[in-house]
Amino acid sequence: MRKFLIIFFIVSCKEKTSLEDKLEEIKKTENFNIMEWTTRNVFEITFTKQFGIENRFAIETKSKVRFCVSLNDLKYRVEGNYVIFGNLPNVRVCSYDVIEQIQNYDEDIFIISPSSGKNRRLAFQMAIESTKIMIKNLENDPNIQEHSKQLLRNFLSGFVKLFGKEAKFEE
Amino acid sequence: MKNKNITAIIGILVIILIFVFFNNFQKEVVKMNKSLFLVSVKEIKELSVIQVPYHKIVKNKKGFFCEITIILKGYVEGYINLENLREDDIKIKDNVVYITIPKPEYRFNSNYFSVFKENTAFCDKISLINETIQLGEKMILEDAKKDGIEKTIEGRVKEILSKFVKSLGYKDVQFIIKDSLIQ
Repeated sequence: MRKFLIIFFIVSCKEKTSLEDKLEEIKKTENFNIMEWTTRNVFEITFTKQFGIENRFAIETKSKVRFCVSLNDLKYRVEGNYVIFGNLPNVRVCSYDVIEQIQNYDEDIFIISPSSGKNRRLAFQMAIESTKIMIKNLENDPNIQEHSKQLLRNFLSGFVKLFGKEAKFEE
Repeated sequence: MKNKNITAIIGILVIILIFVFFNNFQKEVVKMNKSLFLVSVKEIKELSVIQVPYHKIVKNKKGFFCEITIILKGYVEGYINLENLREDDIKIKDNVVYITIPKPEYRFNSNYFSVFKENTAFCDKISLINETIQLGEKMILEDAKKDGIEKTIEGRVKEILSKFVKSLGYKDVQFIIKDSLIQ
């Protein structure tokens, strides 16, 4: 009986250390990819010339954004059969591609405007730069934060299950 | 000495039994029976789970001097209709709730449109605008589908309902998603 208890104690200690070792290992991950999100943006850009003449452009862009999270600040404690995770870190934009610079386009230009070509080029450039700003702002979208955190919760739950534990999350 | 030990062990056992009984008793009080549970879920009726902004440039050309381009803005809303849930859709076994839910749906809610360019000399402008808005709504829903919104909505529905069911005192919840056409 005593022998059995000692073996059980050693085995359980070993298992605990193994889980905690693994958790410490994943905590070293700086950029843990959580999800990819497609975003579409529409920009209406108007150039006003003399005598009220306008060159107007409507440009729709499409981008793929990858969200990731730094697991460095992941807080957890092991209590019996549970691994209790503290507040999960916020996700941030890790990388992105403006995959379709002109997903959709229309223009309304003054027919004899000599600068229409130059305006068009500038409008495309502005649309792309504005898309990048909009992508950065996605980090503040509560839908994205909530959805990403759910994916992270699913991952952590599955991870600790491999060690026979159950995950709990402090809201 | 021996008697004292036995009394101490019995005392500890009694304390453990009281603790276990009290703990289970408290859980039973929180937990709802199936009918009450169904009423609580049905009270939610339509549960909105996500809103994703979508914008679109929509061109509509009906012929010579009858064309328009509009910019349509709004959001795609994912939701689930729980009003038609029946008692058979909920099964409770070993503190786990098995719930059959309809397939989550989504719709586009427009909150703004502007006419970017128009040439409506030979047609009715109002009906052309309405037709173009409808066309834009279809295009946006197709975009949302391509972007994988169905999967996102499903995930959110499960997450929100899981929290709700667990708050009623159940340990876990499993979902079976049926086709929404049954409604």
